[in-house]
This record gives sequence, C-alpha cells and structure tokens, in this order.
Amino acid sequence: MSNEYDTHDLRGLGLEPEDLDGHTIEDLTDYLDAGRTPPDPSIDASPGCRLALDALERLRDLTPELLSADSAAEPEVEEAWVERILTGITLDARAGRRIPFSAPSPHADLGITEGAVRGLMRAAESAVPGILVGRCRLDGDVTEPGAPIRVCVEVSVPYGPPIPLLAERLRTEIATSLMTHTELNITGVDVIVQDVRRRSPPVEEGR
Amino acid sequence: MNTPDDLMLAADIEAAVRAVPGVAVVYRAGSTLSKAVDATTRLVGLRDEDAPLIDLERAEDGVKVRIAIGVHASDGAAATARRAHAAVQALLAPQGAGDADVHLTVVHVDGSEPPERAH
Amino acid sequence: MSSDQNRKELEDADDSIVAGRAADGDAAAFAVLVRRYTAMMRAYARRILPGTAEVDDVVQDAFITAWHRLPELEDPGKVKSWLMRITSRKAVDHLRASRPYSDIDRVEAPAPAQTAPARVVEARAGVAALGQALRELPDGQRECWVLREMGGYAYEEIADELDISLSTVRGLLARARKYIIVRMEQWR
Repeated sequence: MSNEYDTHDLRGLGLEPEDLDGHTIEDLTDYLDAGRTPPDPSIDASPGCRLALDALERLRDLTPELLSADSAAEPEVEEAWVERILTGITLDARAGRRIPFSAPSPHADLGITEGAVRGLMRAAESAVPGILVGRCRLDGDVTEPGAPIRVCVEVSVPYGPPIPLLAERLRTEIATSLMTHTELNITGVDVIVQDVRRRSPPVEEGR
Repeated sequence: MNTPDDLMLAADIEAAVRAVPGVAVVYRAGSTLSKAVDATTRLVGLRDEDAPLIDLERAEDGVKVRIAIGVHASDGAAATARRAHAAVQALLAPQGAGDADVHLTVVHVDGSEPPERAH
Repeated sequence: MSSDQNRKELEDADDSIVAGRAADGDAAAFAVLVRRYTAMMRAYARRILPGTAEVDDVVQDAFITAWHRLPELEDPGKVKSWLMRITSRKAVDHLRASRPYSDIDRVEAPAPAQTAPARVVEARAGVAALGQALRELPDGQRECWVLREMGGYAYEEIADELDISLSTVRGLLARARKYIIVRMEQWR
C-alpha cells in the first residue's frame, strides 16, 4: 500500500491509530456521520482525534459545493445535444392503456390511447393562462366501457389569480375535451396544485 | 404481409384513411411497445422506412388490419375513428374482405403538443 | 398561452411538473429535464470515470433509461436525485465493461492527468483543492468516495454497485479520506 503522504508535512495532523489514540479514520467518520452522538469521551478528549474530526468536517462542508462548482464548469448545454437525446428515445412508449370506442360492427375495434388522452389534458392548459399541467392520471378501468373514471391532474399555477378559479376553468376545459374525444364515464376531475410560480425574470439574451 | 398485392392494398388503405375528414396523420401501426420488424418484409428487400404504415395480415380466419392515426381536435376523435373505419370497409368490401378485422387506434389528437416523430 | 410562452413557462416550472409531464410522454418536458440536468450529470460522471472516458455516452445512456423508467418514479419531484442514481449506475457499468478482471483494490497507480475544466468558476478555494485531490486518487478510492460523498450511496450500495466486499469499500474510503485530508491541509 503506498504511503505517499507519509513524507508530507502534516502540521501536526496525524491520521494513523497511533495519532488518534487508537481510533481509526473510519471510526471518526462514523462518529461524524452519527452527529457525534452518543458522545464518546475517548474521541472528544483526544486532541489528535479533534484535529482529524475538524478536517473531516471541513471536507464534508465542501463536498456539496464540489458538485455545484463542477456542474457550473461544464460547457453550456447545446441544442444539438438535446436533439441527440430526443432522437435516441422512442416516443411511442407512452401509449398506455387502450380506451375503446363503441364499435359499429363486431369486426371493428376502435379506440384511443391513454397517451393521446393525456395529451388532450395537457392541451387544456391553453384555456387557462399561466397554468401548466404536469402529471395526469385516469383512475379506473378505462378499458371497460362505462366504468367510472376519475381524472387527476397535477398543475403549476402562476402567482396571482385565485387558485380555485384557475382550477375550475381547467376542470371545465378537461371535462369538455374528454367528452368530445372519448366515451369515458368521468366522475370527477381533481386538480392538484404542486407549484406556484412567481413571475419569471426577463429572458436573458443568447440563451 | 408478404405479397406485392397486399403491399398495394395496404398502401390503398393508407391513402383512403388519410383522405378521411378529421384524420391529420397516419402513423406506423403494430405493437407500440416492440420494435420487432416483420421478417418477411425484410426478405422482400424493403427497408424499414419503406414498409407500409398500415399493418395488414392474412391469417387463416381472414384479413386483419391495424391502423394508427392522429386526428384533428376540431372533430370528436370517436366520430373520426368511425369515419376512418367506414372508409376502410368501403375499400375492403368490394374485394371480398368486408368481414376483415379492423383494429384502429387514435394515438394523437392535434392541438396538443407537436405530434410524434415518424419512426 | 402561445406555445413559445408555454415553452418558457415550462423551462421555469418545478421538477415535479416537468418530470410528471415527461413521465406522461411529453417530449418537450423531457427536453427541459435534459437542459436542466445535463451539466450536473456530466460533472458527476466525469468524477466517477477516469480521464479518457466518454462522459457523453454515459449521460446519453442515462437519459434514455430515464425516459423509459420515468413512469415508475413515484414522486416526480425527486427526479434530480433519481437522475444522479441512474448516472452513477451507467458510469459504473461503463467502468466494469472496460475493466472486467482487474482487482479494484490493486489499482493503485495515480490517475492520469485529466483535462482541465471547460470554464473557471468562482468557488471557495477549498473546493478547487478538493477537486484536484480527487483527480489524484487511484480509481478504486476515487469511485468509492464519489459514490459515497457525491452520490449519497450507503456502504452496502457501493459494495453492490462495484461488486466488491463491504470491507474493501470501507478500506478504500478510509484511504481516500486520509489522502484528501492530507492534500487539503497542504493547500491551507
């Protein structure tokens, strides 16, 4: 095992058990992880241990900053990269369940995908300025004609307008859209506000 | 789908569906989750992109057709789907395939976010 | 709302909304996640992989997996740490593919010099020192440290991920910490 740090000037910081009154760096790390509780007098009373613990704690403080600094040092994300990612994914993986339409004949099997219906629910946001639709769910057996279905949408709203008003407008729009394009028996539309957005800062140039 | 006649029939069905009012786009049909390629199509020398969008199969118990469409939001999706089915029937009946199983799915409604890229 | 405005709003929206939408199949929302987290994932992968590795291939793999598995994410608000997990898994897969038989414990040679970061960034002086110290660690020690301290992995999870014993993990971590502490004391 290489001991490349043995020759360095440690300024009184020793990290071997003989410097740490019999403890190991591992012990001290575990102690730090546990929040120094329950208190261990053999560690707390040892100057060698205290020095090492301080160094470990400084290291612990710095670590979250490392990822931020590293991330900030990465080059700007190029649109070509985004394009590369998007072409690598298969967009039809979200079809979901198949929602049947009543058939004109026994040999006809007509339906619409859950994915298409979710698309409709997201599109409903254009009727409610500022609202953004996140996750949408259709709870119930959509493959069974007439089965009661409850809709649940998570939304982000802009700060300002009364939330119940926004929710009601979205609810109406979604209900109308589902009635127009599906034969689902919708028993209710739940709108869950996940996020309230402050007015966005002005768009920076050259983004 | 292996014979040139069937390939032509699939192409005709595709054209008929496309012409239906309310239909915005015809997508590639078949299983939405698997990317399995029809082996016989490969043998005929077709590249994947040239393969018909309509999936047509001649089984012992008859013809099976699978269709995937995107529709305009201006009309109800169910109504458009039924019109598309009627158009397919009108094409198949004179050919003696009026009792073909037609499996038609709306996978996108226009006016939502941009439609899927064609694969 | 016009679609341009809509797009801008989506860029600013919370992770839970963006990831929820992407989980439902909205590619534009997924693109927002790509823009939002690519730098972080590249940075993290770069810390796990040795200098010459193809970081972008690993991150692309991670995003493709993320797209397919997003519907399984119970809480879309947790997408950031979820993406980190996928990234480290892909990075380790990449490592194991190119290093199938070597004994991780014996990989003691110091890491080859890595390319300098793309941009200089304001940060506390200690952060740069820490970054440098990490680059000097032998592979096994560096991997364990990054998974633990940046990835938040438990010791058992590191053992599973790297396919080594728990005691090896603890040993490597102890040596890594000692080296880093000593190097950082030198820079103080």
